[in-house]
Amino acid sequence: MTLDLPRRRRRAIGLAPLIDVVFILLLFFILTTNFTRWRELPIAMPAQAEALDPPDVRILLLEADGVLRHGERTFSGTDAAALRTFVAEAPDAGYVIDASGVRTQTLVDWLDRLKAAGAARLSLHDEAP
Amino acid sequence: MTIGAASWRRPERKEPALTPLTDVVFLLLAFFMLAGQVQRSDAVAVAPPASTSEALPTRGVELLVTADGDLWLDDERIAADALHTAAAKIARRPLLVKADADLPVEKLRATLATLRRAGVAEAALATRPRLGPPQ
Repeated sequence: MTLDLPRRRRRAIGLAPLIDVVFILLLFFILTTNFTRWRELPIAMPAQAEALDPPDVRILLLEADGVLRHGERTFSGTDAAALRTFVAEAPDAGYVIDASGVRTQTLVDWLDRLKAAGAARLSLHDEAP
Repeated sequence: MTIGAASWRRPERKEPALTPLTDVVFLLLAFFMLAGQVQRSDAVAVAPPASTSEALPTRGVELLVTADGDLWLDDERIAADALHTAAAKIARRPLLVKADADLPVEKLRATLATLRRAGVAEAALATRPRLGPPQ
């Protein structure tokens, strides 16, 4: 007796399990991937800042209005030229920011601006007033 | 001879084509694998200040300071008055201070003063890159 079995058709390899796995991998990478690239801003520890020659330090006041003061002079964030002139008078001096009443972001902004203006030795006045 | 349209080309119901989908998913997978980096996340979320600084952080101890001034040293919550003792133990290693951009600067100063008194030799503020000058 001959059995007339239906011939099994050759099927393509099923893609669905593959896609399942790839989706799981994708989900894993989406959830664990971190795109934040940290940078660092070196801060002179005040022990080092104190070692600076005392007359060679310019103390800058940064208060709640976000304006930088040195004695009578004030600097606003938009006026880069004035800050550059100020730093050019004493480019080797240590610049110490005495900040109060602002957020950390404002302080970092001013550190950036001073650095862009050419100040090389920057530090923070860290004792709270 | 007549060819019945129905028998000649029967609109077969197909499964949705999976190949283009797979292609896209593979592309996404490759993107996330190559562009991102898998790293341990911080104990608390801290939004660092933006800065034009380009220096890459050196491996060392991390001190997280949240916007409320809570301190986390090496992923462990630490009280402000315990910071001095803890910092003195790791004073020789470079310290990365991840302070939140919204942290009042007085609290940052108090923290840095404690670190200095504890004898920390090398410290840096963690920032995130910013394009262009600060506004």
